[in-house]
Amino acid sequence: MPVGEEVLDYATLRQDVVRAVARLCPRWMVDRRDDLVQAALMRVMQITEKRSASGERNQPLSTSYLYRVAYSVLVDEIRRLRRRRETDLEDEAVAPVAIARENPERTAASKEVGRGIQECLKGMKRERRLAVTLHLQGHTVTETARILDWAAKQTENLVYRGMADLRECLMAKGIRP
Amino acid sequence: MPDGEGDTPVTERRGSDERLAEAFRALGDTHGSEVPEDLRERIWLAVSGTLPPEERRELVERTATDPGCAEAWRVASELWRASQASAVGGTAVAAAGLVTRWAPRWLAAAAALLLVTTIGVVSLLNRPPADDFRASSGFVVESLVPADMPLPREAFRLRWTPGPAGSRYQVRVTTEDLKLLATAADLTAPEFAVDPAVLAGLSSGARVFWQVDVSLANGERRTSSTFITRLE
Repeated sequence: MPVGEEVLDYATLRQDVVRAVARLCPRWMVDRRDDLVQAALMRVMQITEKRSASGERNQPLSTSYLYRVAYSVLVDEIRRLRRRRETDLEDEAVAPVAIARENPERTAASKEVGRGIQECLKGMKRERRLAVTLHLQGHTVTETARILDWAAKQTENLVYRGMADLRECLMAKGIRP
Repeated sequence: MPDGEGDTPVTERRGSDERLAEAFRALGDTHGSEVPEDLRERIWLAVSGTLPPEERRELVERTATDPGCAEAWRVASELWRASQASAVGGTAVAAAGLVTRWAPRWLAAAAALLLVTTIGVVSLLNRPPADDFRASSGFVVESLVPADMPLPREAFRLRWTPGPAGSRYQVRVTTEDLKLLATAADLTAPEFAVDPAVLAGLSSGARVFWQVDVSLANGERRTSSTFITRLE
């Protein structure tokens, strides 16, 4: 397939990246969503142009390539924003702006639950742990079954039983799920 | 509904699940670790179903205890889903999707090899910019155009913090919908004036996005954040 607008659809990619960022970004990053999207897309463009200019003009750049690049770039950009935030938090002069939108009590409670989940997952039977992990990551039963290569009904049961285990474990730790 | 469900109402359980998922995802904010390139590649292959099932399971297991890895997994999942919806004609995507369920083992291996090759190329070209905020001896590329100050068309001069002596700059300027307005390379001064002619098609108040790549004298490279400047 030739390299061209019909293959590298940046407009669609942009919509998809906007949607992904909206779904993935934590609350504190809300103000930076536009920057994040734009930074990611500009880097995707740079990378694809570099590839086109690096003597691979005859190699097709497929949609999957574009999304794979966008994935890697977005991981980097989220990491960079997070690190910048950490730096800001260390800087007392900037900290009031950076943390203004966060509720410290809610953040602390969420961290406690998160740590509890990690500990409970470690103690869970492997199959349930895998199913629950993908459930917590936002995957549907169908997606979880596909990724783990299990039957859908088996997967559904493992998610259900695993989540029951998780709640019980958290309660035992004094954490109300 | 799975066998043996308890008495907890479904809606309550769903709300609880969402809270737990939110707390699990929030771990990435405080404990997010670096995700090396090779791990990132394997995550993409796992999410797309190209990696063998047991290797996929091993990676899922890792995401249970590694928040950075879990975050990369979520990003990969979102974009892989989107790529599936968008790539009606994308050959690589089609191959990845099909081998997951239907193709014989040798075809799956061939598709995996194709993807790994692609990803290898991506990795080489996609080396992330160095850590602008900690590892660059204090040098951070920042815009010197005040964020709240629109610039006139006839004097749309972008300026940024100068790098160490011998630095060269590359600038890229786009519209909000990524239409390329201007690029410039090998600049020796930390500024760039956009030709008013290329701004003619933009309405007053339009947002212009720009980014700077700095090549340092020692061969290192720094990429700025994306800056936004409005047109007066």
